[in-house]
Amino acid sequence: MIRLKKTSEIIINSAGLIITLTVAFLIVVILILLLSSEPVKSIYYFFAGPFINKYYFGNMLNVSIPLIFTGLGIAVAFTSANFNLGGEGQTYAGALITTVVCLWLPQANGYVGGILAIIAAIIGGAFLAGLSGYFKMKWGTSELISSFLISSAVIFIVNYFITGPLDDPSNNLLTTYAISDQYFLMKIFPPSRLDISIVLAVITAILMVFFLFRTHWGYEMRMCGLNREFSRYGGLNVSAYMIFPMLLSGALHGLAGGISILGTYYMCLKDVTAGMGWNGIAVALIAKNNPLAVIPAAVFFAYIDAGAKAAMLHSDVTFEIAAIVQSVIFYLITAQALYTFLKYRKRTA
Amino acid sequence: MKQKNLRIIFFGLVLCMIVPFLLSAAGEKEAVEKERAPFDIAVFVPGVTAGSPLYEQMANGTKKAVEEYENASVKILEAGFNQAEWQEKMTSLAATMEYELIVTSNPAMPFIIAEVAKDFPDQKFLNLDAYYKGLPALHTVLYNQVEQAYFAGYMAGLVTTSNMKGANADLKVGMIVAQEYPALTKMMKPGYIKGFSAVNDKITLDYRVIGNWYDATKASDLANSMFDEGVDIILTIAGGAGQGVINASKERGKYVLYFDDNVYHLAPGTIVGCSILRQEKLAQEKIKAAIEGKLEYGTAQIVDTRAGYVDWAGDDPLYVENVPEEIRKKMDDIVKKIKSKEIKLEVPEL
Amino acid sequence: MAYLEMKNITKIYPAREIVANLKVDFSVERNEIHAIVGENGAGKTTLMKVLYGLEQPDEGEIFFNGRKAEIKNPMDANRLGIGMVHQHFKLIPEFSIAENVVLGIEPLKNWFFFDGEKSCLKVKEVAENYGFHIDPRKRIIELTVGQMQLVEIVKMLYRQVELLILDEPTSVLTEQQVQKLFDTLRNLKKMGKTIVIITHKLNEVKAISDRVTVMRKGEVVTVRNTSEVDQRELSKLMVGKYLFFDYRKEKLACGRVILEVKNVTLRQFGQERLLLDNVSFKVHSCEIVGVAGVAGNGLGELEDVLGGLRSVTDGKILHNGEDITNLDALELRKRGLAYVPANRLRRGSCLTSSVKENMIISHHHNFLNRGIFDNKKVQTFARGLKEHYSIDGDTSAPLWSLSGGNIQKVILARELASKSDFIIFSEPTWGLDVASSQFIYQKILEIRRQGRAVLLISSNLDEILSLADTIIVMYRGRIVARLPNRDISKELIGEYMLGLRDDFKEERIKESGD
Repeated sequence: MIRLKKTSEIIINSAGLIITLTVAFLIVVILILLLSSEPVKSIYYFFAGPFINKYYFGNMLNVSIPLIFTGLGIAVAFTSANFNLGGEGQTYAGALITTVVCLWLPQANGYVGGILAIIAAIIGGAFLAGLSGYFKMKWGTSELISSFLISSAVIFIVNYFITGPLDDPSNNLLTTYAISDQYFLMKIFPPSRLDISIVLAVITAILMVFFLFRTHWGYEMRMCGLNREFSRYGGLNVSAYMIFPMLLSGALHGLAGGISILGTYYMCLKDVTAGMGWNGIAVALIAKNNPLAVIPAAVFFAYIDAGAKAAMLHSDVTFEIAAIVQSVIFYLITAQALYTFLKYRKRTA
Repeated sequence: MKQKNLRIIFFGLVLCMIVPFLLSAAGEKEAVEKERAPFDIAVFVPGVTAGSPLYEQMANGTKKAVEEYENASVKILEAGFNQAEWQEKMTSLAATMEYELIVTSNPAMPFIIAEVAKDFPDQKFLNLDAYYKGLPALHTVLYNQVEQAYFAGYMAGLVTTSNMKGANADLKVGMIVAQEYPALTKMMKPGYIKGFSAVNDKITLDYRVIGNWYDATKASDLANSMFDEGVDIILTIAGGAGQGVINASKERGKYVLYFDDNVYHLAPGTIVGCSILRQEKLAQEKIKAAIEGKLEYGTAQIVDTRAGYVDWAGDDPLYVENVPEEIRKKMDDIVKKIKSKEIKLEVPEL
Repeated sequence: MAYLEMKNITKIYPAREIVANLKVDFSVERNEIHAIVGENGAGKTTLMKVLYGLEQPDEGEIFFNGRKAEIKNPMDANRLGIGMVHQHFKLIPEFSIAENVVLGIEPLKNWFFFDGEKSCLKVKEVAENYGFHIDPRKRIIELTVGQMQLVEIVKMLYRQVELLILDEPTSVLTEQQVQKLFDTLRNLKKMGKTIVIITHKLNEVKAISDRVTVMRKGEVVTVRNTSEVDQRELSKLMVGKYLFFDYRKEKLACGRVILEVKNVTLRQFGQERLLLDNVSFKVHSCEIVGVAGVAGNGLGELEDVLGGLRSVTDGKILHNGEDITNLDALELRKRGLAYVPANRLRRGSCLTSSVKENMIISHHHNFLNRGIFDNKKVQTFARGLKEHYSIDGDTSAPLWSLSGGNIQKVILARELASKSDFIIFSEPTWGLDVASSQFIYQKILEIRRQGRAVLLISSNLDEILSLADTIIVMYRGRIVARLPNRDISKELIGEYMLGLRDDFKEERIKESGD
């Protein structure tokens, strides 16, 4: 057997991503040319907008925080061949739970209460996703389907609480009461909304790498996910590891929701976490399930979001055009990442 | 493998981000030139314009005002239905520093503006359909919606006690709202109740909340269950979801009262009354004042029927055609009494 | 011009950084049986995948039947009349045999609706024509490795291809079935078909082929008329060095009983037939017990039960006198079991994980420091195994980047590294080249010398006859023969395997008596 010191595979891989990005951005440019009467300005703000002032830049990073958590949640589940499609519901539930705990403890110390609230969100998210894992272990139901269905139901339940029992009638928005200000996370880049939790997000990503690739549980979890029969043969407790990755994934989603409340919104508005779960999947796909790569992938997603917003604010790009542009990029990138991912699985299956 | 992928992704992203940085220098120059343009106005629509009469009126009124001045311009910006994003978008808009004035309409917005003003105290705001005092850069105008709802309530009372085809013997009237907020619970609901009680104090109210502004199916289900319980006329304050109420009423031969806009043409014979606001007129006048430097920021104003911004749409041919003369006459009387302040309906503390 | 000409074929796998074929010229005459021999990783399979449209060559062209052929995918190949039976099965596990066989060609029959009955009948007919007895209604998932291979062959025979490529077709077949297959192939040849057969077994090359192409390291070494070369010369050309075929064992006295299987019975829920029927035997220290049998007669089940992956319905398994019946794999491994499974790609290894992660699965606890892996220790361990077993591949690379022989070496290295006194080998050399097989045989003999007990489950009779001290033959879940390995002929074992002889009574009665 002859080994070649060639890097062609890498070039091909990265070329795929770069080509997709180029195509996506070309489509954006064409769309703007067609739909905008001041295309140059629109394009300029779309691409450079997130960098023209501190406020936009900080907000972009702030948007990336929950995406890092949800992206990690998806990536850890993927690494062990579990698909968590219930991110939307788990994140939303996490947001509500955090709010509720904070409202229950209006006088508590900010650190103690805040940590309790976040832990509650983590447990809530983990429970929801863990259910799917449990069903898979118990009856062999696909966690992909069950997590999605559970999540869809949870969204309605959370909506009920926000617009029903927890609704703040003195507020003009559809929202719960606001949490008290000792729980607010520290802003680190005023006037933008960027808060200290971005540090937590980065630490979590590093911890996930450590967990997956250095620890006993990470190893067993990955092995059980990648090849169940092999793991059984090797003497691992396979059934425990059908639940565990989902628990972990759900916990990270719950965390994303909780952090959004304490860091950004301070109250559980209706649809406050909308899109975080789905975008987390796209982020994980772009990152090829590497927990560290999730960080730049999430920032990239936030960049597209911030670019669309900037174009909308500064030129005649409307809400709809911005949404279309975002979707185009989302689908192209997701399709490319999914294609590579599936091809990889096919080849190694 | 993974390490390599990481590097590639990172490289790609860095590239994406650096290039615009290089371009941004050019952008700043452009912004400086823009400052010399005398009066740029941004209209911040908390939602979408299409299908929302008050927002349409605000946009149109602003446009009309701007047309009168050569140095003025307007940009309409829709923030979408996700309320969680409004604050960030409003802050972003202020952060552009490109607009002399940001105009918006919605009782929720002053609180968001108050937050934004902490970071951008120089940005001027005009907020219609809201009441907020004490923010130096903000002028708010509130409609006397007690009067507005009183019209609807009085009409509901007249219809349910009438012998119109869809009216029944039960003394029950309905109200379907999208969500509860202070203007609703403190002005509209009490105004409505006062209105129908003035006709007959035995009339009771069946009141339901949808939970959002778009779910027409749920609104239709709610309306149907209300009709089952003997309601024969419903006031809907539910934005796009109101269409569900109209459809259900049409099918069941019942009646609908509409808020804010004249929409008899949507369902002639089913929609038997519209309590309207003249937001277009208000927006046009206020914007003109702002461009001429006459708008008093930091103050809050209340406008009412007498001033001509709240009204009962009582001269529309479809109204005349479908509502018995007797009822129309009684309504005209009521509108007159409100205008003359014979009936006094004060706006409460919100 | 020859019937099939492949010219200047070059194929590089960038992912594995491997040159699989380098400027290969290969030609087949019409109506011949052409063997391709070579070690694992010599590029035989890749060359055939290129021909079958499963891989696109980086360079080179193919001429078939006098015309230049563009083969983009197997459908193109089938249209041209080229069919292939793969070494690793391409079957849908949830489908029945018939459904798998007819898959993809029903539309040609103008069936809008799938005709299950008809396909079953037709498949059965085709199978029986060639002497295979299969139930077309059975799902692939219920089949053993051997039966799956059979379905693959039937699938191509059903497709009536003109040029049939067989990749290691005989590796799981019994001696009799091999003869039958060869008869089939000769018949096909008589009917005007052309056959390319990839194999490691040089006696088969001699038995069946007209010409032989020898490949080594991605290149063609030579093309010969089979009648003009002998096995030794072929093997020399293949490996580049001389190999001897005699696995002579020194005599060792058998010691104490390590493993005792007592009246083990296994019944699948809802099935009449017993998968294991009152199976009893003992394995002593420094003894190799060979279990022979045709696939589907309980060999796989015996492997599952002893490996702790399946619970017995009845009976006992004792290890050094302790009852280990129905303990799970982890517990068995703690007590000193090692196990090289037959399905090495699914059960024996995880292709998507790295080589070193594969090396530590069963004893990764040894590398932990408060739950965290000591990477240095893992690395040292993995490097050690790599050196010792001369595994060709980086320990951090994913396992799929290794060749079949090297994957088996990784499994072997892992299993033998544990302090086990009882080792199960199931089909240890299936599909491996001569050099790798040799290596594994040496290892098996080495652990026998160390005083450990070995259970060798294999459908390869040569392997059993040359290694085992005691031979057990299984037929329909029963032990039908237990013989000391002295002057036993292949034919005798073959007769037991196929149920032609059933004169083994006394042992069974004695075992069930206690």
